[in-house]
Amino acid sequence: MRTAFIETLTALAASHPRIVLLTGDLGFGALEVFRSRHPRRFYNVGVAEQNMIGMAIGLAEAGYIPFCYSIATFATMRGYEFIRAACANGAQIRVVGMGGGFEYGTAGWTHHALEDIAIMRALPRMQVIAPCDHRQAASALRATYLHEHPVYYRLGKDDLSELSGLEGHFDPGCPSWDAMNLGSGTLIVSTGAIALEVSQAIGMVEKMDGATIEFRPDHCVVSAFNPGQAIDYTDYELVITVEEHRRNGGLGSWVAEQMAERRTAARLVRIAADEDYLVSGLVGSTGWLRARHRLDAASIADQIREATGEVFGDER
Amino acid sequence: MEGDEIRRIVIEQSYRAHVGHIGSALSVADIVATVFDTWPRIGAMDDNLRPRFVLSKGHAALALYAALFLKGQITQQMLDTYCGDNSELGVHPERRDWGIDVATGSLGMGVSIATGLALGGQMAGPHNFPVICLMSDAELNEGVVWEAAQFAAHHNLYNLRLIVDVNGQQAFGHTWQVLEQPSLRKRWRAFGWHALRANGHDRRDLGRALIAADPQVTRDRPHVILANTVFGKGVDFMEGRIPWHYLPLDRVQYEDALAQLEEGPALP
Repeated sequence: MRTAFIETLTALAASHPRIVLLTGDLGFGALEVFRSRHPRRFYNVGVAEQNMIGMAIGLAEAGYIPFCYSIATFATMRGYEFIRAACANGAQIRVVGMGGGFEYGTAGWTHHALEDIAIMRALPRMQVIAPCDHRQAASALRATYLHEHPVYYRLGKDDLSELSGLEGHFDPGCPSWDAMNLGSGTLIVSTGAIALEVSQAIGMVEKMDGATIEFRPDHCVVSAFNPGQAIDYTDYELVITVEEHRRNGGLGSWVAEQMAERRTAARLVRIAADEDYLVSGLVGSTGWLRARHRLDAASIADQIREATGEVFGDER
Repeated sequence: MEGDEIRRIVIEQSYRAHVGHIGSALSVADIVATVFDTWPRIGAMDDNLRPRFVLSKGHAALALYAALFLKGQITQQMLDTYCGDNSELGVHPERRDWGIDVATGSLGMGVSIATGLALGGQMAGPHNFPVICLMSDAELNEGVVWEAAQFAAHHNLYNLRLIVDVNGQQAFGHTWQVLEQPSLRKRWRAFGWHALRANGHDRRDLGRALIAADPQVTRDRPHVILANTVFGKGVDFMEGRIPWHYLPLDRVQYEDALAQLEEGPALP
């Protein structure tokens, strides 16, 4: 996603002179393409994330659209109050966080972004976008780079895998999708790179159980651009959310809020990272960590089966 | 624009609204007056190349409102809403299309934002705009100030002028009691800045420092003016007193303060 995102940004910057890229001394092997194409609009601000966001507010006030790049935890958390000030100043800034969830597996908890969606979606007018694959990262950027309010892009590292059937589709408005309503059944909503595991898990469940599950990976906007057009959850009996993030405050919480406000009768199951994780101190590969948190395809499939078993009994 | 005109408004409005932060606004009154006289296009929001003014010590906003009133950008009626309900004029400034470039109030942030503005100014080309940022000496406690200082020096942001209101006081003590700040000028020079000292209540001295910091004169580095001031300047019972960071005025104090400003205290 990172390469796709930066290459798209580099191409956009060629025709949009207001685009500026700031980095907190990260992006080796990824940002060089922008730096060489647009050297006068690329600044490494040093290891200084607060100042990166603060300067972005100033650059926005001067008429630019600054993109602020760092690892997701540092991009969102170190300078959080500055991001809040960007919202207060009506500054058109973009925060680009690399490595949502466990992407930096062995690096440890400092590099594992598990609360970023929660804190960013709490900000007024902030749009949170966590693309599911590299093609969607590119299309999401193209659709939103001129958005009038601040945007947070939560990216993954994978620039090869594609979510089958998605074709890079990005739908910021989540328009009505009656045409795809398969009747009462199960809806799975996911966000970010974990969608690939979800897609595999759904394949496992459908193959084994012959179930029909609707999966909405294009619904990767956590705070919807047009909340009034959000998903109609009343069409389902079971809604499952899957995110590489803490259970409270992220996608699952957002969906819960939408469902409660619409008096939806469906059961909601939130699949997310283990709550005890920050204190465990254990590291490993991204794959190992996902399995440890029951966020690998097989574990997700198990949890989907458990949930469908509870809701639908043996009829499936 | 005179510093004492700003002071008079500060006393009147803070008494009327029964709010504090009076001493901080009094200590920067002469600085704000000098800045507004030096750059009359501050607040001309329809001009993208206008000089930008960032009040990083946002708690002195009343001095900024007073200057904008004296310039004719806000009416007496609007000024009289200060700290009222549904008012656009709070203790800390918001971004306003009628003349305020940046919302501030969280200390240290304004310096970082001003650095971004100065960079944006330079990216705009040779006819770039100056950025003037007024901060307190207590803000030097904030780490982000030094992050911004390093960037500004490394990228030669000569259109950035930082004025530090060195009144030696902060919210809960004197700076020498909280975190001592020896060799301020040397510190800034070590960070790669032009650093000048000035008397923050002497218009001529301040003007000289601002001219010495003119990019036409020195087109290479960012500039910091360490302006020595007296907290609560102009009202004897406030001068150098920590509690006046927060206290509002009672009627007797208000009349005393106004009388003192009427007499016009001698400049040092």
